[in-house]
Amino acid sequence: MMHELEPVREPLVLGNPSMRDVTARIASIVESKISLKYLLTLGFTATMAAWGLFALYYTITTGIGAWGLNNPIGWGWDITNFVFWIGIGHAGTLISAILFLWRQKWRTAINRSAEAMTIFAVICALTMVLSHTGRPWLFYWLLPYPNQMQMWINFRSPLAWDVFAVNTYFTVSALFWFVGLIPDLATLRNYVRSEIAKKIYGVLSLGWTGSTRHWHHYEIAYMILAGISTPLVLSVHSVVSFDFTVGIMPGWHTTIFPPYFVAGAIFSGFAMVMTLLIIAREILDLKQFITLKHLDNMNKIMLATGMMVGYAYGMEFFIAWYSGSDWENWIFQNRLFGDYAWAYWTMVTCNVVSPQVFWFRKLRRNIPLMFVISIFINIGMWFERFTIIATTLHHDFLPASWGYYSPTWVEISIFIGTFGIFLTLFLLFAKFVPVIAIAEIKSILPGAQPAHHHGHDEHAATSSTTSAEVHS
Amino acid sequence: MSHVNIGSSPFIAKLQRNGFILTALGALGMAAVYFTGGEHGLERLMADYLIGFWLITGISVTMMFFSALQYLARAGWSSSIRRIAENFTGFVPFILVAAIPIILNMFSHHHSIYEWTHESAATDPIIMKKAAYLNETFFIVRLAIYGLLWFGMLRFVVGNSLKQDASADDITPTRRNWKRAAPWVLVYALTITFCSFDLLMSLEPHWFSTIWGVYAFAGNFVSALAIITLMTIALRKSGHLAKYVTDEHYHDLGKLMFAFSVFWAYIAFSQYFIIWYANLPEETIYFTFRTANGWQWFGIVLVLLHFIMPFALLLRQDVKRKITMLKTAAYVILLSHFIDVIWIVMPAISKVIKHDGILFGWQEFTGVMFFAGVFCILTARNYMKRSAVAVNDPLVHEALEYTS
Repeated sequence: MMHELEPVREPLVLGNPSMRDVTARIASIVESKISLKYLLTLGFTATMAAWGLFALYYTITTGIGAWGLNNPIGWGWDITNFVFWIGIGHAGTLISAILFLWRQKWRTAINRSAEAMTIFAVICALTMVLSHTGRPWLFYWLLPYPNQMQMWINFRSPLAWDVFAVNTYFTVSALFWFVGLIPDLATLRNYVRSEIAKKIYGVLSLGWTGSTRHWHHYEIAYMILAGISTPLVLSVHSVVSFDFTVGIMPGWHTTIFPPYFVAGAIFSGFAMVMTLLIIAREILDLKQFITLKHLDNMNKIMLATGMMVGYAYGMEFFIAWYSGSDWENWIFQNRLFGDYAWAYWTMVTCNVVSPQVFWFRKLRRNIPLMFVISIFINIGMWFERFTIIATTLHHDFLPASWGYYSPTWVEISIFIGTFGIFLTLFLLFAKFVPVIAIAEIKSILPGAQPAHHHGHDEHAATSSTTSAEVHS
Repeated sequence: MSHVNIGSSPFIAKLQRNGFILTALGALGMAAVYFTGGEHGLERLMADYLIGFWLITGISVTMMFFSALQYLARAGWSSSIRRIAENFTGFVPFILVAAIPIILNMFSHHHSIYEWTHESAATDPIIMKKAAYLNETFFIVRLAIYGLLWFGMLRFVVGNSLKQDASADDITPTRRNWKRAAPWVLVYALTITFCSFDLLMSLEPHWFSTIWGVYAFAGNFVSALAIITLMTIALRKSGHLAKYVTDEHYHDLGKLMFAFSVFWAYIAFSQYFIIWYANLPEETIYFTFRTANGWQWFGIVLVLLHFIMPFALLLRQDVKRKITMLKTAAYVILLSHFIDVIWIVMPAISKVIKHDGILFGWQEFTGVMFFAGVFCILTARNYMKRSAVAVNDPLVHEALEYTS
């Protein structure tokens, strides 16, 4: 009755490692000596970050006038980059929370690093949004706090909602990530040789002993955080989309924006996870855990979300015509043929055309190709935000207030700087934190699940490193 | 494994009998709507017909989508209940036939429920701009395209699932669906969107909303899930699926209903909020009428029944395994979907027949009774023809042993 379903249910971990092998393999990345290559790369990304911080310093001391913004175009690269980074931060929580609730076991190999990227991307987004306020040292004016003058923020402004949405997202994502890390930090505490490292991992693992009681509480906490994170995945980018939609600018104000932004965020987030994981799995030799099956699945999600974004582009266009509104109609023709047509077509080519290769299984498993496409998508999603912002603003309602916007070296440097921050943090993460959720990977090894019928491997079945089987 | 043939069971006989009763009552009711409606009897009848037609068409088509989605995701857990959704697609081949009255109505110029078919539309400056899309010929062509594509989807996706029943050893039909489910999902996304534009959004030809297709999808999907849940419970309770359905399936269906009622609320809120906040007259016309003259109660009831009730009922883990609660939630979802469609259609009809107040009464139950009856008859017919479970699905063993 039972079929051999090799192509349907591929193993999620290759090479049939024992639980001990898994620990050894992943912990050895942390234990290994820091190589010169690593230091050079870190130096390079840190220089990028420093250069960006210098440009930020220049902006703060000179004023926003250092940027290329002008009268019709009051938002340029600043908000483009903000939305871009916030979007990237969506894949991690989707993988960690939503795929967890959907019982998608393949997530275990990628959730740790994807969620780390979420946190780092949100840090970059916060950098952008703070710098665009002009006087970032007064950032606390964005927060509602009781004060003598009875001055409150404007609760009706979507910019104020952003403050709550993004900070909530950051806090919950960081907590979720940290809770997931606790058992692995305890594993590292037991594994590392250096006394100092032992102390640090020891403190961070909060006295984890791996007792059943601990696992029980951990499971509940993880489930609740996954539940809380799930609506956040949708709410954050919906609120970001309100920055545009609640205004009445043609091209910004349209009802599909919230789900369209969420789909785009997941799309871009997966692309960034893909770009970095392809490199990480090569360098750290994680092919055993991040298999072609994982990459295939991620490519499918990119195809699906790319099509959703394409659907939204199509709906915007159709309704712009169907509405009979001259403004809407004109703004969309202007996107196609106007001054920023080059940005628009870059976006369509990268976001809608390029992922179409993933219809084919062979191409979904072609690593160089998917690497290139993932970079295309990163570029395309950046241009999507730029197109939305610039095309609507550059031709205001009066022809007298028409303009064109190009960034100065300062904005470009800050953007490069955010990449520096992002990559530096990721490199530090890859070296000092288990890049793959050790405990979770163990739970999907053959034999780890009590009800598993096939492929009982004595080695795995008798290994009793942790009570990871609790994790079902 | 041997097929699960329950076609001759009392449950299916009852389903069929109730289907006939509902159809007959619905048909009589619709006749009554016409004859008691006076001057606007035809508009009222057609509006009620449209409500029933959209509800059953949307749900039947979404059942195919559910099946395609399971193939696309290579889902194992649902393989033992997927046939329940597939057996609900009996109405799909009849969609075009059932659409004929709607098309004929468009040519009864004064009594058409679509304002853009009226003579006055030819001089309406906004409708004129849309004439390339909103005209009778193109409308009929589009309906024909949707109907044919849906029939193709039925033949392919559901057809392959049925072909798999023949043999457990040769899984070619299933492989075909694994491979080709994705393009059909795409077809579904586009057809349900444009069909909802044509049948519902164009009732208010001045109004537009880019999220409308997603809104239509959300309501249909959560209703389809509610119907699948009710049927799963009923069949298991009567002992037919004892071997194939476990509490885990209840739990997962409960989770899906929970998730998608929240998704509906998210989409509905997005639409309402963005229009409310921007306050542009060309968009607010839709909601200003629907939040006054008594229609506001429908909106409030929708918030309660389509979002808060399912949310509160299904949030807890243990509740999703309790039949009573699960059934209550499913009925609440179906009722609220019905109210949603009334709230979409009837206010637009008020405008067409120049009626300022609320337009709701026993009449609005007739169309849905008729179509629900047809839906039950065709579903019962499917159970008489085929196995109630896709017993030879290569993943069915996973559905029997998984934990949710």
